[in-house]
Amino acid sequence: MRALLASLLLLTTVAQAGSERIPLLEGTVYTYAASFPKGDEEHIVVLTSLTESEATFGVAFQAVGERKDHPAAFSAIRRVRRQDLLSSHRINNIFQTGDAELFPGSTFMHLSAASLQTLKSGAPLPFVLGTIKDYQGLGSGDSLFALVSAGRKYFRGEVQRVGSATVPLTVLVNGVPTVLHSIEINGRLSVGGDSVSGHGWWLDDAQNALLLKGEHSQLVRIDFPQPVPQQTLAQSLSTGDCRATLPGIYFDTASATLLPQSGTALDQVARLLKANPAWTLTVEGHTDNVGGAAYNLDLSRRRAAAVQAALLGRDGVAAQQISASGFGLTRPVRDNATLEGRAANRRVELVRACK
Amino acid sequence: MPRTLAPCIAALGASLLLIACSKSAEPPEAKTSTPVAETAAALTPSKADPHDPCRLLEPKEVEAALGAPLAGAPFRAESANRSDGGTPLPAGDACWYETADRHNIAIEVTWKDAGAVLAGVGGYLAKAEGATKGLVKLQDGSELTGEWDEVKVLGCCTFMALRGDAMVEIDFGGSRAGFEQAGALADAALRRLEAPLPIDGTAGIATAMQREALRPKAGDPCSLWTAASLEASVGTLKKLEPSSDECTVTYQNDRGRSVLFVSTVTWRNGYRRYRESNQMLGGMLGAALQEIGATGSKAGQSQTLEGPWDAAQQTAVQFSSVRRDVQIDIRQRGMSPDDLKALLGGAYDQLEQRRSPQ
Repeated sequence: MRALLASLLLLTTVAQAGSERIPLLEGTVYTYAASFPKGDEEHIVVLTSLTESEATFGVAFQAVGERKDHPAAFSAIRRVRRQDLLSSHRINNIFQTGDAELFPGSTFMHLSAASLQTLKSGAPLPFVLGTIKDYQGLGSGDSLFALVSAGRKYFRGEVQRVGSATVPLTVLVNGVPTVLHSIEINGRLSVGGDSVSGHGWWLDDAQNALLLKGEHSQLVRIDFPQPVPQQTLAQSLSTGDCRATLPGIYFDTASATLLPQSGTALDQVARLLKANPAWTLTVEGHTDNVGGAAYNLDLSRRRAAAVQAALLGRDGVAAQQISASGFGLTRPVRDNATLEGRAANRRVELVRACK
Repeated sequence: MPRTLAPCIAALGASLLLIACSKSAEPPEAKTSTPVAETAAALTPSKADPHDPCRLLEPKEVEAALGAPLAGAPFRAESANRSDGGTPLPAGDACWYETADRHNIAIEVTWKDAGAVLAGVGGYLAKAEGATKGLVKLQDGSELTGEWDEVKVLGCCTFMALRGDAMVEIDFGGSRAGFEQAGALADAALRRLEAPLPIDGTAGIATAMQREALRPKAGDPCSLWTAASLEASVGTLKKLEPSSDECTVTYQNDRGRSVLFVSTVTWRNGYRRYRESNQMLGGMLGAALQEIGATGSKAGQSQTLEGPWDAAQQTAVQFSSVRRDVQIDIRQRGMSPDDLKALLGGAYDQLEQRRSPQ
């Protein structure tokens, strides 16, 4: 029954969403999720700077460990040259300790404009993918030694567009489910006797041909520097059930530790409370269904409390204005069977006492 | 694989695209249709060692980088990473290319799983990479490009280029070649990974051994100096203390003070050592001067000097010289250029006389 309700909610929200372009914009946070037996691993990519010559990305990996409360974190910086965003046919999506920040001739989460054009013309594209084989089996923090011996390989071959129609994919853009149009590509890439699949879905936008989906991973959230217009948040908290999902909040995987990327959203809420001193808000924590009810209830409570504490630490927020509660996996808004569904269910909501 | 770097390997990775795989394969057999230089013996596919690094470069390509003809066919040898690098060895990791005056270039190949090696080197070089920003640039500022997927430069003179799953290392420390020439060799070698040349790296070993016999044997470093020659240059001898490769002489100068004369001899791979140590000293001095705000000071710059050597440099730390792959460093303050020339000229002449007749 709950799954059906979640599905209906999903249909409603997607139907309301529009499709739009995703500009390459400094400060944008991209959240990729990958599915693992132990839970969803999130890769948070921040476009930290964009100049005439380069785009610089900060990447934070939140690997799921043997136990959900023991994740392994890893962060890195990757710089990509504009010229490679225009014309490279090589993607290097692996991060290893000691890597240079820049891999000339490679992008890491984009198809180049030239590659996209070739694929859209229907022609095969000579393509190089720098990656680690069997990554899914190596992804947990406890598999570190397996990764040590693996090493990056560059697989070569041709990829080609699958079909001729764009494929709609739904991504939470500033908290709003948004249909993005992708092109699906596929091909077999090899090196020596090893081979990998080059199957993926990429944003159909020559200015920002983002990887939207791989075989086991997917872009689930895009948060622009101004997550939600202040007026929109205020309006949501003033009308209807006085409830709003707060995008732009990031935690360590399976943890209540807030990541620095959450600062913009928290500042925004603090400004709202300062401007409305009579308001009282409850921070609600919600989770996906991986790990069981008791675990997720505890996690959601701790996450709500972490947001409450972070807000109380900001200027102009009074203690009586803010409380916290957690609901674990009990109130999904999307289907927990999918990556994007679970990503939408892992959320923080604000509820104002307006009745 | 550079054995000394293997322990440095520590990698943590994550992939946005998830993938499947199958088993890896050995390098393919050689194509017999590819032309080879006269100095290298051709092989039939059945005899070819698939891991012979000599199969990736035409001798004439290396001659172009060395700027001189090879003294003989390329040969399998000990790795350039070792102090005995270049010693002929049938199953050696390196392929050695040597001119008559012993300038040399070596190539080594990691045929598979080279990404892990390069990740280790990356960790080792993390700070340096920050400085080079991942790009290899030539003196004119242009970017060095080639058939590689990744490239790194280790130390002064090891050019490491990865393509696919394999890596070639061009060690050009024993030559006058630069990044541009090393890059061209790496590029050529990478293009042949899947179709190696029919060259047998063991074929050149016999003549390499003959040339090896003409090298001066490592010995007492103090034996290069006669008491008379030292006294003529530095003063009255008081004490002489030889060690394995260093000769420390205590002498009394004109003012009656005891001062040290220390000489160090590198009996083989002197060209490589000379280049590495001068780069290292230059880097250290440059950094030290930068810290005290003296960038550009003449004190930090080495001076190239003409004399009875192939190359020599005077730095604030030592006088360094090399001839026919033997390097002699002298640490002694105040010796005149003429004294240095006389002393080292005698030492190098002695080394020539020690070479066995061919």
